[in-house]
Amino acid sequence: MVRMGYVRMAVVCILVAGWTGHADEDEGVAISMFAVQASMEGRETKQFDRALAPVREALADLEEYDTFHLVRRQQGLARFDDETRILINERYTLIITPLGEDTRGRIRLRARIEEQIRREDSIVKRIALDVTSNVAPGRPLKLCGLRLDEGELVVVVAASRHSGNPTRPTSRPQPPRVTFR
Amino acid sequence: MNTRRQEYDIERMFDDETGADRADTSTSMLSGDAAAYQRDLERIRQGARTVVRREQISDAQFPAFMAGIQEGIEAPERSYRGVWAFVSLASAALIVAISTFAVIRGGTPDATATVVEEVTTEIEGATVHWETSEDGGATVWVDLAEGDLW
Repeated sequence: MVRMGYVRMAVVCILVAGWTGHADEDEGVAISMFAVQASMEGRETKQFDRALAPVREALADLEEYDTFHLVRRQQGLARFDDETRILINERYTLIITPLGEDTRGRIRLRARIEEQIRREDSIVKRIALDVTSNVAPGRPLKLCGLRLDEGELVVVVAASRHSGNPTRPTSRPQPPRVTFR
Repeated sequence: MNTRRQEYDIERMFDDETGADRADTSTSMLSGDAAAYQRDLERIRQGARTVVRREQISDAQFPAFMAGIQEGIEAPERSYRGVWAFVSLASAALIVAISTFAVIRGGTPDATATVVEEVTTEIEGATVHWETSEDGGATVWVDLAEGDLW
């Protein structure tokens, strides 16, 4: 009987130790988003807005475009299993939902681009792109192909784990929800 | 062909050593390879008997002779335990070093690349696909249909 008690305790410890999901309300995912209007204009060398310097290397891989203009840039903290809406422009909204973290340190992320248009007397929405991925630190996710004015929309998303204060008290008020504006 | 054990038995019989497990065998009953081996032993014996000059140990040489024998008996048997211990330690250290190098170096770029699990779209007629970027990231493409009027 005593041995079974130790076995049960060991199983519980193993299960708790093996859980790789988020366990801290104060922790989340640091999100960096660049929304870009990209187009092909027949240039000899690619042209980037100065504000796109942090993601220039990521955009340079896209051979379909040679001109890149910044539409929207946003950084912030998104909590696990919470939807974080990032307005790109009047037509597109990026919705980020961190789902967890794998053993290699990659953030499992759901990224959706919601598209809306205004019809005669209503607003119609659809999910233009719904992506679930494991995003590695320093390895951005790029969403390409949707129409944007004279070019196409390219959304560059980078994610990394954000840890809370390790000396936090065990009980505290619920932190405010972080939203992108 | 005789085995080494068979040759040993033949040599003992040839030297007139008797043993209970060999009472049923004598050199006269040998045949084939065994008999040929016995004839070789006989030839060697005859040769030894006809040596013109025989080396002998004189009385003055005998003490040195016995001292050499005693020295050989008392000489410690060469042990290779130290060599094996060193080889084992060196192998273990090499394995630890390789493992540590592999851990510190980290995974291959493919192991830490961004990977897409699933991609869908609600746009009718559109197709979606994804590919790994040169920088280890992932690029998702949505190809719109020509008739999409949004």
